[in-house]
Amino acid sequence: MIRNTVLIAKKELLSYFVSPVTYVVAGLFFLTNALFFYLFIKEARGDFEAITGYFFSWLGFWFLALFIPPIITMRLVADELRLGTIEMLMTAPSSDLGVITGKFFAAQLYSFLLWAPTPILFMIAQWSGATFDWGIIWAGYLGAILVYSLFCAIGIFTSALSDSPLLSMLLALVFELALLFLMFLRSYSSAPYAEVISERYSLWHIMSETLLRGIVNTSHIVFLVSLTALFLFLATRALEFRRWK
Amino acid sequence: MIDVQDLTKEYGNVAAVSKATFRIGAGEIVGFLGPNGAGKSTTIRMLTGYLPATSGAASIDGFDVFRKGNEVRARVGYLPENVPLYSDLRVIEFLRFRAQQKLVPASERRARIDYVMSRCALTERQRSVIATLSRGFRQRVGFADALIANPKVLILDEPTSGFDPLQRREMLDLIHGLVAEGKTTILFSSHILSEVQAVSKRLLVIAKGKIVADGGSEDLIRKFGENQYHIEALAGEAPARELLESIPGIVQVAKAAEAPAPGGVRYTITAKHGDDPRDAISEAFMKRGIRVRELASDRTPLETIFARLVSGAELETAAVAATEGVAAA
Repeated sequence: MIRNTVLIAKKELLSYFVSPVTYVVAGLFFLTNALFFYLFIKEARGDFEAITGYFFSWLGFWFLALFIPPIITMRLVADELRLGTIEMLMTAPSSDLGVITGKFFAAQLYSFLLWAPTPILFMIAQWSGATFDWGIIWAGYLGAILVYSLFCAIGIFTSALSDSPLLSMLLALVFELALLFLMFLRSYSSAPYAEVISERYSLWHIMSETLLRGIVNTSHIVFLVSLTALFLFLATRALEFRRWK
Repeated sequence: MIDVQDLTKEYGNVAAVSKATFRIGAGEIVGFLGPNGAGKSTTIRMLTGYLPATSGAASIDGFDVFRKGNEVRARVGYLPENVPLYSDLRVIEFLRFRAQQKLVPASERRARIDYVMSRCALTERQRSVIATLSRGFRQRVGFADALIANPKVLILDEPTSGFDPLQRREMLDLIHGLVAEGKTTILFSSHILSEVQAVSKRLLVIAKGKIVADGGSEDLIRKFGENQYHIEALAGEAPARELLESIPGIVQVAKAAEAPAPGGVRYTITAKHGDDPRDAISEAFMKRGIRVRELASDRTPLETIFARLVSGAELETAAVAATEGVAAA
């Protein structure tokens, strides 16, 4: 299984490498992220310490997080289904789980590579006089990695649901927004569980209220990682189901 | 090598393949013949472990297709219909990926890739991106992929569909080469009879999801064709007909459509299945001193038999049973 995962991941990375879309997405990400960083610095009005974590929880962050992973993952399984290459893939010694995890790791690595150069932005800002709490910044990066991984898993799951990349991207958005806005449940319901769900399981809440105060809460990490694993499991099931129906 | 027992695939209430049973020995090459939509691809997909069967069993090289999928996959080279390939990769990258996926040992990988590329005449195009290849080249890449792990069994689904005659020739030559080596068991499907005949001695005919015939072309002609002959002799109509009808084994004597030479007669004769009455006829005519100008077997062409088999699968099975009954009587 691991051999297969590595092999599929390598193949997908090669496909990313030769695709122009990869570079356009990366360019857009860097440009938009830099623009957001500029707005963030302006917003700070000199008090950088107080709003450090804000960069990882405001609308700009979520805007990129909502769109980038589905764009990266939308064709991973859908194209295999659409072009029929899945038949070739599945009639060689392999496993559904190996295929899914291989694709997931490739997408994950790609999204990490997008974030990798961004600490430079903070360094430049610091070099020109701003001061940050680097602990909070690293907590923010940890959160970003967890959120992007989860969204990649969601993207792969929705990609396995249909043979249309566009549809899989839209479906992924639905799932992502649902998780993000769980916190509003509190505003609509007075039931005790609504409070708990909003507090503990809303991505927005996890990012802004805990991680970015520098509190790395193990239960939140476990929650995000488990959710990622769950979506990968569902993706495997979806792939299996397509063959068995 | 390939053993299929009552293999059935149903989609809802529709049976795409129903109770297919056949056996293919090691080193044998079998043409899987049937019109489009007869169930060829469905059968093949079940054999390659891509589709699960509704019921029935199949094994390849002793391994159950549905339980020991990976064992089977390691032994089977499969060329799917329409040849799906990763079009963004180069030929060599694709083959390298497939060699790894199909567990070709690292030490042999390079040599194996070079071998299949030269075999399929791809060496010069190895750096080409698959998307830029023509249909014929794509098919060759698919074929190279099927061969890469040196499989014991090769399953080719419509390997020549969409080809021009030259490409078809090339593909059949490739298959021929493998047949000559005799190390690989090959099952290949097609809806074109001449193509299957060119490569394989044994035909497996499927129509409406049922295997309707299995055997060499001679067997099929003998089994499903009419046992007909024609004769042209210099004699009066009545005596000739009488003489023919007196010969045992002759079921029917009819005037031939073609006109005889002046002063002669021409008849079409239907004999019992499995009988060849020609010796008896010539002997009888000679005894009477009648000169026979022509006496020959009118074999039903395989094309006609194939067309009949696939046009009315159920009807034909009944008819065959009936004629076999006549033969037995």
